[in-house]
Amino acid sequence: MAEKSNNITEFQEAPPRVSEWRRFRRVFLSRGVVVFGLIILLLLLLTAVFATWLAPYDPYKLSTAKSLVQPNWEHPLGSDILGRDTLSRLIYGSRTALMVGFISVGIASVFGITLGVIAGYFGGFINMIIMRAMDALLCFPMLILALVVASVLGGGIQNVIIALSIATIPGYARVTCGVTLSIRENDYIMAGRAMGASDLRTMLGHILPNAFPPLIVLMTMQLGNLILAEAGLSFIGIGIEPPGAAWGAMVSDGYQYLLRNPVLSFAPCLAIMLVVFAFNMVGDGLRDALDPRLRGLL
Amino acid sequence: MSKQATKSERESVKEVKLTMKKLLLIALSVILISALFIGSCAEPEKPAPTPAPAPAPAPEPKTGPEGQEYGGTMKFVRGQFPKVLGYPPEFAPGDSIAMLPVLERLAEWDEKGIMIPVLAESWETDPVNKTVTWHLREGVQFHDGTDWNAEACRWNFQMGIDTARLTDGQFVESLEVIDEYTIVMHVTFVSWMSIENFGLMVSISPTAFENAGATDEERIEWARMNPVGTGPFTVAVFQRDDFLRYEKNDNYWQEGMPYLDAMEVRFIPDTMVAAATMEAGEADVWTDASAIQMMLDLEEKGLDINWGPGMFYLLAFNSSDPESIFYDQKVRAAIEYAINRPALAEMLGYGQYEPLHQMASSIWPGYVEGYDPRPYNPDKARELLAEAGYPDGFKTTMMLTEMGMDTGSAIQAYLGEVGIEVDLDVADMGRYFGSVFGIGWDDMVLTASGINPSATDLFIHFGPSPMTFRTGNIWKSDEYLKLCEEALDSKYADAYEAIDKIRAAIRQGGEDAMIVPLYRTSSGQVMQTYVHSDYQLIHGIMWFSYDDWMEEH
Amino acid sequence: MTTYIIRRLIQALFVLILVTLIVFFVMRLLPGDPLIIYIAQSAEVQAMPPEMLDKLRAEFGLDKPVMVQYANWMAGISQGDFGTSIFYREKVGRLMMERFPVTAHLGLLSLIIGAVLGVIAGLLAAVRRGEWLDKVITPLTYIGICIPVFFAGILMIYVFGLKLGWLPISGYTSPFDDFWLSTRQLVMPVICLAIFGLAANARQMRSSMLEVTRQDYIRTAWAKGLSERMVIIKHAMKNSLIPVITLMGLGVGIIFGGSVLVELIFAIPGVGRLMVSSIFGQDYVVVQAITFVIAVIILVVNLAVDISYGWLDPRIRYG
Repeated sequence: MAEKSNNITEFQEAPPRVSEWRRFRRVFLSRGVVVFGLIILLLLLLTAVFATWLAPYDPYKLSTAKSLVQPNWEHPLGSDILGRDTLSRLIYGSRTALMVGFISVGIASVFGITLGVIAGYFGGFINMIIMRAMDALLCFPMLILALVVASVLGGGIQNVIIALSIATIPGYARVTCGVTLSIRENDYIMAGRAMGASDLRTMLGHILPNAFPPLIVLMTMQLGNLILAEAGLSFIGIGIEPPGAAWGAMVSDGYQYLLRNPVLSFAPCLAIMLVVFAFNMVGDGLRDALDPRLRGLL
Repeated sequence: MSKQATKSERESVKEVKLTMKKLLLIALSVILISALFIGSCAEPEKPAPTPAPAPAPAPEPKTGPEGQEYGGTMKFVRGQFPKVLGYPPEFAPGDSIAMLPVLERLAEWDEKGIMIPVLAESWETDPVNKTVTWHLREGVQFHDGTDWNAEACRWNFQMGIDTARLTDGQFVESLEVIDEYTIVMHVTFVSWMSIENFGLMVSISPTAFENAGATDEERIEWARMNPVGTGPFTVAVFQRDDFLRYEKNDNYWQEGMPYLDAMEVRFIPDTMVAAATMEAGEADVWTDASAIQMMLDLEEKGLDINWGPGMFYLLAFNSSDPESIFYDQKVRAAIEYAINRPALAEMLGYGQYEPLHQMASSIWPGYVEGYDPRPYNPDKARELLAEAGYPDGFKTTMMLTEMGMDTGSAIQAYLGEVGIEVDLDVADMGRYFGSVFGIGWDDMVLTASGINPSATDLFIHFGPSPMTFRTGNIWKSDEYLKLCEEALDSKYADAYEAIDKIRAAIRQGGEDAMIVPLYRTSSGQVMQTYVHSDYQLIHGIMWFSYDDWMEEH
Repeated sequence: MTTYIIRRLIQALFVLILVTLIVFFVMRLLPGDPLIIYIAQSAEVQAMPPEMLDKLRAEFGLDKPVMVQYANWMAGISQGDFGTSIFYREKVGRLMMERFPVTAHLGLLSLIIGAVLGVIAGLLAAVRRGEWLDKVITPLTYIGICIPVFFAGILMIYVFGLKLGWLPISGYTSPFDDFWLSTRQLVMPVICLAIFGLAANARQMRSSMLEVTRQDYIRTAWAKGLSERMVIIKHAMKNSLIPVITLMGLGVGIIFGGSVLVELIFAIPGVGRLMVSSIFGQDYVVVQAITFVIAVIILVVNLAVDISYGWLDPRIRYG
């Protein structure tokens, strides 16, 4: 499977820049679901940024009198056992979701891309070591790896992020390594090397633009997976610490009151589903627009 | 164009072939791997070896209490499952409670914490000669047909002492079998606690154990899965973490008992699923339940509940370290003032939790009537903090586990009101237990301890040499320690005679603001209306299964 | 070909060694002392003196240097001995023998159902593109890929178990004991586990079908006057399956991950639940063994898929 990814990311001549953007926009926005996903993501981003203004109540403020209030005009989504407003917590939870998602993707891609470039650039033994280590990591299902890592490090948002990052590094490393390997063998790189050009710099200049399409698609889709995984970890009981509002933790807290106050767990669940859906759709759209040949591989 | 078409067509044909081969291969590899599993499947899944099958129960209809028909199989669900069945030195609390229908004790607590006879008929302590004498019940047989007698009792005591699992075993100098049914323990220290600590030992059949293998290792391995006791039931089927079936012991020493033919326990860790199972009528009893909201829902839907006490929640400090901020009694007192415990208990327990204001719950013998040193008063808390030199509050941490998350958030908010900023440090069970039992904690820990019906609790958790919180992190005043010790004077025959001293110790602990007692949780047993059982009324650590019965349903 | 297989086998062996290193050393970083938890949980009313701790530590070989422990562990595994669980007081190999068949039963069913139904659904959606069938299937696949496994489980328990009473709410029975009950109990967990793979396969199948049918050779096939069924089955479908197969390889990992949640919810005594309880109990001997076995299974599946690709497609062999 490792070899397969090399093939599809083979170096290709880039089409002229100007029309590319137009083509990208046309393909990207051609499907309704993608636009819908994009709108959801924009709303999510706005919610996260303006959470302080949007939230009707302080999401951390408890009120003994309002424990487990059913949805009403004052509290459209009711309140949890500590009397905290569910809607406000949901709104603040968007921050946690985005933070977990983006930081994990950031860490994983930085490590993954670096490892991939190193492996592809040096080739040979180093390539072997790095890529086999990535293969070894890929032998652990994401949730199980995250579970073990999080249990070793303990709960808390930063540890969840670390756990999820480690689990997702190999994907980035593989893609980058494949692109790097194929570029290394290109004639003009060979030529540049013969002329004594600093080939690492030359290569980076070629690797990154070529690796960009598969990487950006991978990142977008990973964002959805990470949010799902975070919810799964929280559900098992390894996750974000209070008083932080996180959707996964809200589901597992509210789940205990499912029979009486279903909205407590249904609302964050729907939020998770919407966002995961949006990331997947936007990822699809990006893939189709940037490099349709990735279909079926990412 | 046409050239391309033919080329791609040729490729497609090739690819079709490839695909088919790949499919075949993948199917093959899947089959191979599954064959591996199924290979292991096909091997008869070893349900733990079961003890010799009990003789088939005589199907004669008998009349039970109140003239009802009885018998039948009672179906339980529970969220905890035993791991070791028949080797008491390796028992965890979940193991011993699950095995109480099978393995009996010398004596049990009743609801008030008074010892009532089971395998022993009576006992006496002699503070002068320092002896504890047990007069054993006659005519009792183990499930393997051997007799329960003084020698069997001695053997069990000896095993507890050898494995360091008999509480106060270190005080035992020798065990003396006087006659068939009398055994005397010569001890170096005797108090009213001795009867409780020694009497709660469960007994297994020495003969069954000794015959189970050539080496101790073999015997222990066998005993883990094969409980041979004197109880009303035997274990017929045990599937680890899944299913447990008890069957009636026809030879039980209590005439006409047990009423039930069998009990089946299914392990359901998820409380929502357990509640749904009860609601759907798939089980008769949900035992050791503590998800209050769901239990109340079920009660509303017509099911019965036996409520019993759950855990004693408290906030403990790292107060013995002079460098710690909590070394100052005023700081600890301020924290106690800052938390609105009645509101907290009401919110978390829907009226089923008892707010605490002293180191004892009102259902506990050592409770001091009307003693509430620090009711909720945030102003007073701020005042005390200012006096202690923290007018603007301070930053600190509190360790807790997933279980205490709601409480932790609430305490965080309450302390925030008086200017104390608390970082919650959520630990997994490993780190938590490691801290509470071993290496100690930094600032505060939100923790809980079990509740026994008897006054031994005080000593188990906070006494001079406690079982829990033995890290030495909690500062204890000399006055408090002295009172604890005095309460154990051998002149007191039982906890009730020593109760004044115990209450004085509780009061002293309160004056010292040694800990901040928070609330007592509830747990219970949810039952279909046709089930009759007193389990859980007696504190969830006693289980008299022999007189449980079901109406026709 | 032989060289290729040998090369892949050597690579796999190397990966295997890395896997053992990861499994072993990650677990050693666990912060708590498993023995203290064990003792804490056993200490009922009885006290346990510190000498006990040393005795237990020696019993579990924890008093030796880490490298020696690793060597012992490897030596044990090569003889099929995974050590003794601190909690269960039982051979880990035996614990896994009890649990893996359950998870395999659940997982294989889910894998097969996810694959078969997924391919059929994707095929139908592609063939009837834009028609009502597509309009039903496609949105369902969107839901399928984004619904959290546990939420699907809760919903089904609520609806089918509680409100409609069609299916038993939870539990597991061996099919050899009671086939009918076993199947009824498995319906909900299997759907839960299969749902993601089913949706992903269907989406993949649909999009690659659409891709393939745009190809010239399919047009040619149409032009030759072949029947719709022939075109779809003979040409389009088989080509569309390739990426789906890749997805199914990944599916094994997803199933193991999902089984953790599903077994927890449906009270199924499989390996996922053993994993969670061991993690919370810090029973690292068990966690170590389970993680290792799962990793090896995935390694073998990937190896089989890789070798088959290499066999079928010479370009990969020299790639």
